[in-house]
Amino acid sequence: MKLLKRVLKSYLIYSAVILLISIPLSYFVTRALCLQDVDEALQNRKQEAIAQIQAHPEMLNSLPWNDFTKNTTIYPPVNTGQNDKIIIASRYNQISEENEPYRVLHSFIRVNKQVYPITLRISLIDIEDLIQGVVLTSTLLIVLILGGLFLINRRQSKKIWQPFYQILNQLKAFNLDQKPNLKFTQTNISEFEELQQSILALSGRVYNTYLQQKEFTGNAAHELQTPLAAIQAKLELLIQDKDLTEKQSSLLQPMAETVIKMTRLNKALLLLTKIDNQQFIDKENIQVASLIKKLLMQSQYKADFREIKIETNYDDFTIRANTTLIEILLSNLINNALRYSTAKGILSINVANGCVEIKNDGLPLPFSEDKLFQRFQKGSHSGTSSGNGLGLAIVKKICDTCNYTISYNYLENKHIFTLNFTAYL
Amino acid sequence: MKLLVIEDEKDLLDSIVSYFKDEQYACETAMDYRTALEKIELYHYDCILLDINLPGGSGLKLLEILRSDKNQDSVIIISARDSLDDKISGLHLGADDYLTKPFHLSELSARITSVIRRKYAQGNNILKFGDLIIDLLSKTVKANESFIDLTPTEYELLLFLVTNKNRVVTKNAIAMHILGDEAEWLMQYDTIYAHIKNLKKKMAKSGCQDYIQSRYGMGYKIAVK
Repeated sequence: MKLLKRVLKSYLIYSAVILLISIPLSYFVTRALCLQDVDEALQNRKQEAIAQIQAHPEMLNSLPWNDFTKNTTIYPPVNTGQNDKIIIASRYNQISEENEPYRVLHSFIRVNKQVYPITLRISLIDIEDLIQGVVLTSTLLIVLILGGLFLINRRQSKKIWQPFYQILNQLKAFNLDQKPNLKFTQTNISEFEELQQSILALSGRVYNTYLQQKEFTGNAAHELQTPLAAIQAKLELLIQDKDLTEKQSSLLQPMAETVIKMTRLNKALLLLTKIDNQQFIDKENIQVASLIKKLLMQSQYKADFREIKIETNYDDFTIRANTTLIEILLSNLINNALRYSTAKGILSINVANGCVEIKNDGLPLPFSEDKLFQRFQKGSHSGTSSGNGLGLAIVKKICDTCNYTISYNYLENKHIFTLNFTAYL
Repeated sequence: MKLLVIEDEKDLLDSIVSYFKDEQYACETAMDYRTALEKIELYHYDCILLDINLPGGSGLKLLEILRSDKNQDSVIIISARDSLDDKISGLHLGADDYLTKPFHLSELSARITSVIRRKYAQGNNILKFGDLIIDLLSKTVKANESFIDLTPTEYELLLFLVTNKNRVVTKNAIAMHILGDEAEWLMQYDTIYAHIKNLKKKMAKSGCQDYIQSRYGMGYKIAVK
């Protein structure tokens, strides 16, 4: 849930509750006040009637009164009076031809020692209208106030949180491969200012650490080349020694091979660093199938060693890319397939529609699929000596830097790598 | 032949010097920019081995000075820097070859021989070893007046051994000389052994002596007995 929505949501709930309470509240309060008024008027009218009757008692007998004043009725005398009673009753109005609510006062008046029941009425129809009017007006006002506050609040919040969203967007766009270029607009809210400064400092530190780490790999690999050269040279000199025994030779041989392995490892690490540093930028038009044909020719002897049959299916296409990188990418995949294919297996390569599919027979991966492209992840049942564990890491690095997509699948005892170049056709 | 080895890593420098001093080479050394500059300006060498990263300056700068003096000494750059750009700028400045560290001394020897031969041969592209006559231009080998029919790999192998004659050349060095970075595959299947066997067989057939000796499975040495 968005921050703004969250804040406004509680606000909305509060407004709705207030609105729901205020409508009946204003209705009942207004109504009670009005009824109180009407009741007072009824009592006044009763006193007036008593005064008039006491002044002219003869009127009681003539009784034209009742016909005359529809809202005051005096009934023939009764024996005992009761307490006053005020009720609401509806009564048919002949003029408007509908039932109208009335406030009715049942009372008793004492004239010449006789008790007369008297009923006084006041129509409530006007008052009902009044109440409606008052309730409507007050509801409208409350809606306007709450709605207005809501809108103002929303605008304010948006404005207040704007630096926050700016920070958020810049962080989303933050990419370690590029020097951070975070720009924040000045804000006078101290928390945001602190946040901006902390993030600027943090991104700087993170980037520097990343750079140092990257440089370290490169430098370490580079600095190792010369000592390796020294070891290799000394070993070669030692081998020239005429007095060398067979036993000593058997110790020297693996040492020489280890030096070569280290050299290869170093070169692969240096290559990774170079790809990282974007040192391959020149782009050319490359015919993918022709390039694969060339690479297969160079690797044919490897297939021959392991008696692997190569099947190809070309529908050539041209991409715009760096030749060195594409060569490394494809040859690493081909060599990987040749290395891990079962002996006498089939390596099939399909080139079509901007995609390259490299498929080889083989046992399932001895590790989980998501580790496939990680550095120093080696297959256990390679047909040859194990590789340096960097081949597919380099493949992945190239794909990541150049935005090619690579996917891996294991289907029917076949490892399938699919490269997608469609964005660079 | 006079060699100048400009290299700041003492161990490597010593190894290079001791590898080549047995040969017909006279080695001089320089371990920093200033010493190297002095020697380059004072003397002529048949081949200069030049490291790029030197204390006091860049090897590429030395090369620039050398070539601007119209000094045509052969130069082989030996550097830990493996980038194509470095190779291109090195060769562009007039280096004759570029070798990335680490390298086999036998490979370095082959490169030096090749550079010097190119410089002085002038029409003479024949290399003799024992009964063998190797024609470097047509890439053919003759023994006792008859051609030995060699595959390109066998020819390369023979030439590599001959340029490193009387010395043990490791199987690794041979594999890397023939295949470069992919050498591991050759090692894996011991194809070097198969190639050597074929080569020896072909040489024996044309009546050559058995010049090639194996050295405890580590490598091979070609020598006239």
